Formats: sequence, C-alpha cells, structure tokens
Amino acid sequence: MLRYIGRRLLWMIPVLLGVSFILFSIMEFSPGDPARMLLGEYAAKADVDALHEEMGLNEPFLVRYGTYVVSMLHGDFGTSYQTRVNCATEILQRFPATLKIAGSATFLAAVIGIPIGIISATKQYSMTDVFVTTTSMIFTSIPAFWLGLILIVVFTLHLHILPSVGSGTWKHFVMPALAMSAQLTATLVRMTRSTMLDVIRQDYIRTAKAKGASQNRIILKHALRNTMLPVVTILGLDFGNLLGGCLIIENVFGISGLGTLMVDAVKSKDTPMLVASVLFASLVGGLVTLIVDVIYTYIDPRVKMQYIKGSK
Amino acid sequence: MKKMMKILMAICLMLTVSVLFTACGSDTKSSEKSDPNRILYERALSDVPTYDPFASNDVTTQRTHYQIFDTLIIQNKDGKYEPSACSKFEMNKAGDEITFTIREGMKFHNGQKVTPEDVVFSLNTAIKSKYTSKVTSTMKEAYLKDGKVVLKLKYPFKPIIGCLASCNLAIVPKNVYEKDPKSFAQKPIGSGPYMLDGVKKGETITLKAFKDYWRGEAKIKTVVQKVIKDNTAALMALESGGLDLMQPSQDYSDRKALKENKNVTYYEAPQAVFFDIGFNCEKGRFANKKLRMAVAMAVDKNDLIAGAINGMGKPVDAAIVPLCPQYPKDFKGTEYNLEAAKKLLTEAGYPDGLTVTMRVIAATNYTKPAEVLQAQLKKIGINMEIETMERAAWFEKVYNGGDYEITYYAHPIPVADADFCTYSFFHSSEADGNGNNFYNYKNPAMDALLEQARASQDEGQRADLYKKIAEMVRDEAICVPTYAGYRTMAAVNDLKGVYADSFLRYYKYDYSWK
Repeated sequence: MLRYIGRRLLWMIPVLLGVSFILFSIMEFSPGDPARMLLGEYAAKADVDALHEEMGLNEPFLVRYGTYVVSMLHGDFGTSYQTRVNCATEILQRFPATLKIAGSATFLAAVIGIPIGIISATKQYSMTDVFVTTTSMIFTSIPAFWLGLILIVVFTLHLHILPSVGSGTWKHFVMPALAMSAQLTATLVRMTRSTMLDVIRQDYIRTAKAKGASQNRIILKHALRNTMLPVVTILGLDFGNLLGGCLIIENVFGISGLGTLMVDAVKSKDTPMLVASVLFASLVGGLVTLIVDVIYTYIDPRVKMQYIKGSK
Repeated sequence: MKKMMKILMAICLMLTVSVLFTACGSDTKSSEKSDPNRILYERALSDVPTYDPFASNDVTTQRTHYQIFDTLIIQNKDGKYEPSACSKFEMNKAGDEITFTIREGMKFHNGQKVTPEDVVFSLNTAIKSKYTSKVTSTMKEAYLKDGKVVLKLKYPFKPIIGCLASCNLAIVPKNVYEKDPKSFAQKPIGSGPYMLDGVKKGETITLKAFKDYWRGEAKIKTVVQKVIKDNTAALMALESGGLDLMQPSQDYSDRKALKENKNVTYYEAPQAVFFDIGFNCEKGRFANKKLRMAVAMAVDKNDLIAGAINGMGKPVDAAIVPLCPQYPKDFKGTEYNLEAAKKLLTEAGYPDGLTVTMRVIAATNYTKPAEVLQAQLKKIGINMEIETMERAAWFEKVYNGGDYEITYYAHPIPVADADFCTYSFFHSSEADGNGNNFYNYKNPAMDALLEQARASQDEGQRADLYKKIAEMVRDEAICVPTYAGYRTMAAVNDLKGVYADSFLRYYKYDYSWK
C-alpha cells in the first residue's frame, strides 16, 4: 500500500511540470503585456521597454521557463508582478479562506445529502421520495451565485442575522457554505439514492431480510458501505475542485480566496502568480484524489488488494 | 428509518436554532450610530497591491494612497487647487520653475518631521519612476535652494499645478524609503491624515487617524475599506448597514435603486473622460476621410446616450473633456445628417454600403454603445460587426498594434486641462505605439497647434488654440467624440462631507458623522 502511495506521489511531479509548461505557454502566447498592465495605458514606450528588461521579459520563452522550473525546484515560486510579494506567501494567506468554504460546503453536503438520499431510496415512490427528488432537481439547477445573493437578501437584508461580506468570523462562512453546498448536496442525494436502490435489490440484502434483520441494520451494516464508493468519489472530486477556488462565491461574499487570486493573475498577466496558484491547486487536488483512493481501501478491502497487486 | 428521520430533523433544528441565536446582532458594524468613534466602512473595488506611491497608478489603489500621503498641492471639492504640504508656491516668469515653501510643523506617521529634503527626494523619485509618467513627464528635477524646494520643468507647462495634486507625487520620508523600498511598499509611512493600521489581503484595509496631522486629527478615527468586487453584493451591504460609502457601478438599475433608497444619499459629478469612436486613420478603409466623415454624420449622440448609458451623460462635440476650462463654448460638432452621410459614403466608393468590424474591450462601457452604433450605422448602409476583446488583448492589438479599423474607447485625464486629452492623442510623435495616438493620425499642422498650445502661458491664447485643434479633429474626422458620463458616490445619510469627484480624489479627512 505504501508503495502504491509512493508511486502516486511520484507521478504528481511530471503532472505538475506539465501543468506549469502549459500555463506558461498560454500566458506567453496570449495577448497582453504585463509591463504595460503595470505601468498603465499611457506609459511611455521607453518605460515599458525598461520594465521588460527589469522583469526579464526580453529573455526567450524557454530560458524564462527553465529559470522558473529551477527556482521552483528550490522552493521559490517567484514574485508576483502585481504585488511584488512572494507568490507562495500570497497563496498561503488566501488558502485558509478557500479551505473553510470548501470544507464546510463538503461537510454540509455529506451530512445532509447522504442521509436524505438513503431515506429517499428506502421510501421509493412515496411522497417523501417525490419531494426529495424534485427538490434536488431544483437545487441542481440553481446557480450558486444566485443562491448566494438570495441568501444575502433573506439573512442579511431582511432578517439582519448574518453578515454579507468578509471572513472575520465563522458567521461569515455560513451563507457561502450553504450556497456552495446546495448543488453538491443535490448531486449527493441523487447519487446516494440511485446507488442505494441498486444495492438494496441485491441477493445478500434479500437474505438479510429473510433472516429477520431490521431495516436499520440492513441499511447501516450491509447496504451503506457498498453505496459509499461512488459517493466518496463525488465528495472527493468536488472537494478537490472547490479547493482550487470558488471564484464566484468569493466575489459575491467578498472573501479573499484562491479563486480570486487566480482570476486577478490572469487579468493582469501575472504569470508567476498564476502558475504558482494553479500548481498549488493541482497539488492539493492530486493529494485529495490520493486520499480518496486510500479511503476506498477502508470501504472495500478488495480495492486494497488491487492496489497492492498493481504496485508489484 | 423513522429513527433516522428523527435524528435528521433534530440536526436541522439544532443548526437553525444555533444560527438564529448566535447571529443575533451580528452586524458587521462594530459601533452604534451615536458613537464618536464610529468606524467608516467603505467599499474598495480591489485590493491594494502596493503602498508605494511611486510604483502604482491605478485609480483604485490611489484612493487609499490619498489618505496616507500628503502632496504639495491638493484639489478641493470645487476643483480648485490649494497649497497643502507647502504653505505657498510661486511660478517663475518663464513658467518652467516653481518654488515651494514647505509648511512648518508637519510630521510623518513615525514622528519624524517633514523636511524640504524629504520633499526633494520624493519629487525626484517620482520623476525617475516609470509608473508616474502621466503626471511627471514634463518635470526635469527638484532641488533645494535657500531652504525651499524648486521644481524645474523640461519646458513651461501651464497644467503642472494640477499634476502636483496627484498622489504619485506623494511625500515620503527619505531615510525610510531609501533604506528599504520593498518593505515601504507594504508598510508605508506618509504624512497624510490616516495611517495604515492593518491589512487582510484581498478583504480589508484599515486606516487609523493620525493624531499629529498638521490640520488636526481627522473626525472619523477609523476607516475600513472592504474589498467587494460584486456590485450587487456591495449594494446589499450598503442597504444592510455593512457599508457606509461606495462608488456605485455604471449600471442604471443600481443607480436607480440608490436614488430611491431613503437611507442613502446619491451624489454625481461629471466624469473626467469622454468616449469616442476611433478610426485607424493610416491603414485600411478608414484612412479615407470621407468614410470617417460619413460615420460621424450618422451618429445620433442623444440616442446613443439614451441607449448606452440610460441618459446618464451629456453629448460632447469637441474632442476635449468638458471639464477642462479650454473646452470651447458653443462648439458645434459634426452635423447629424443621414442623407449627407449616405452621399459621402457613395463618394468614398461604397454606394452599396460595406461591412466593417468594430473592435472593443469586453466591458459594458464599450459594448453597449457599440450595439447602439451598430443600429445607427445600419441606416446608412454600414453593417458593423462587433468584435469584443479582453482588455489586455485590445491594448496589444488595437491601441499599441494599430490592428483595427474602427473602435470605441475613452479619453480619461488626470488633470482638467486640454493638453492631457489632445497632445498625446493627436501628435504624430505619439503614433505607431509610441503613445496614445492610436488613431495613427499624422499631420504637421496638428502637431504645430498642439506644441503651441502646450508651450503657451496665456490662457486666452491656449483656449483659442484648443478650439482650432477641436475644429481640426472634427473636420478631419480623426475620431467622433460622443458623450461624457457621471462619476457617482453613495453614502448613508449620516455621513457628512461626501461628494462625487470627477478625478476620483477622495479625502476622508473632510468626512464626519452627523
């Protein structure tokens, strides 16, 4: 198992190098001049040229990329063109806010979505089931930013019980978490329901019923674990995606996270910041996927055996 | 299953109750309305990337810089220039040297006195900086003479006093800045009414009143600038009490909502900018003056203002921002005449009309007017396709690269003087990516007028020269000025001293609570 984890970690290195090369190339060949973006539209050409020289932008693309990779391997992810602050420092300052939103949204989705999905599956075709499936369809369709604005209207403007912008206290994260978790919860409900319906029709469940096991025991002891694989996959993938930044929610709620940092870097052609932040998001996403794969082994021991066989 | 339902309902009930209880009174504002130390919460459009006044020129950043730093000259709310860090100033007869007497008793935030040496250092650092050329390009150097600061210009330049009000010419302590400019950029020391007290990256900037400010401590002791990028979220924050002050978006519905809000006062001032249709006068089909003139005659400015900015603007006929004192009175722009436009189009060689592409920045400031113009030009047989581009791409291809036929853009100015909206836009030395003459218009007669107007020290003569320049722009149809909009500000009713400023220079020192 450790060999498997080690191999996965090693594979991340070429993946991250590939990501950095693609990003560098995109920024290089997309229109826009970072020096002019810094100096302003009315800057003299001589000043722009001088800043190009200062920033090393006159060097060939491959030389600049090579220099960046070498410094990256030494732990230096460059200095932002815009803020002139170390990129790693900026990213680490912004990441906690994104982690809080992603973590709380995923937690809410899991705590609400999985039980409701189970209930809906066990009460198939009942009023409860119809209500749940209709509601989850609605929430799947609602864009997160719109829901965020509605929550602000209700909880801030009318009820005056939650702050609308900022991230100073845990209260600031209630509405962003609710807005982000809505679609994920709806997806989890549907996935859990669908998987549970497949599982409870299996022969071993019928056997358990015939042997007199209670419904709760059947669901929790026999069926749930078999339902969890796809559910954990969705949770893990979505958590990893959210960790890469929830830009729209960050904008609506005035939270300074990784998503905003990345988009600002794109707009200002801040290549070091963009590459560093996307690499960070990729690394985090990769680690989350690895953790999900490890969790699989606890849910289904057969998966562990497959990993061990595969790593030999 | 019933047990599971009960557990689930209990969890939901607990969550709801905890939110209701703990969130009571959880307003973001920390003080009651009657508290003399009441904090002012202001919206910021973006974070401040640097607090180095010589390394930034974006308007959003400068709104914070104006609170932290002092300048030699300040612009009051009536648009007049007054001495600030200097007690008086004198221009020499030639008009190329200004002598400043630095005010006594001024201090920096670290307790140091503000000395003439600090002022000389600050001016020379600004002059050398690549970021400040908009306001320092005419300055040569500063030096000390008999305890006073002398600023030498490259040539006589009448609007120089206005340039000195820019916070790019902020006064900084020489010893602190020289020692570590990078650290200064994150921990600034100025002599302005507010000190930087705390920054939460991308979220808030906290300013505290400086007790030893030379005009006396500001009445509002703490200002918190909250970074809120989304306009709707900012509006709701203002309405809910999370904000006291914000600059609304250009969106008509936002402005309408603010005007109708009884708890908020809405302020307007003319924009220090005009929008225009730009032509590539050197290459392509619009190098043909008759084609340009045909377009100029097909533009209904009132219709454009109504369609593009919901009537929130005024037509501009001369290619000069109307705020400038040199804007010619009763100037007549190109006549709106569809029949004459069609005739010119035929004379230009397009009797059956033509299809052109207008390249604009992908922002409603430019795309909405483009859509209205598309409908207007169709009446004379010009099918105009609109190509939207990302801002950086537009600047590279259109502004600096000249790769376009027709576009829609703006002429913003840092100082209310016609030189800023004419010289760099129409002088041939500024063409071909060397400056702002993205029309690539090259005419020695125009160059001569611009140079004469710049050098003149007589306001009457300058006004006449700028009138001639505006007439040449009109007659040559280099561009078609269309309209100027409004700068706006919205504040809660109990905030006094607020106004909308055309140049976005806001001094929080003037604000107080009722």
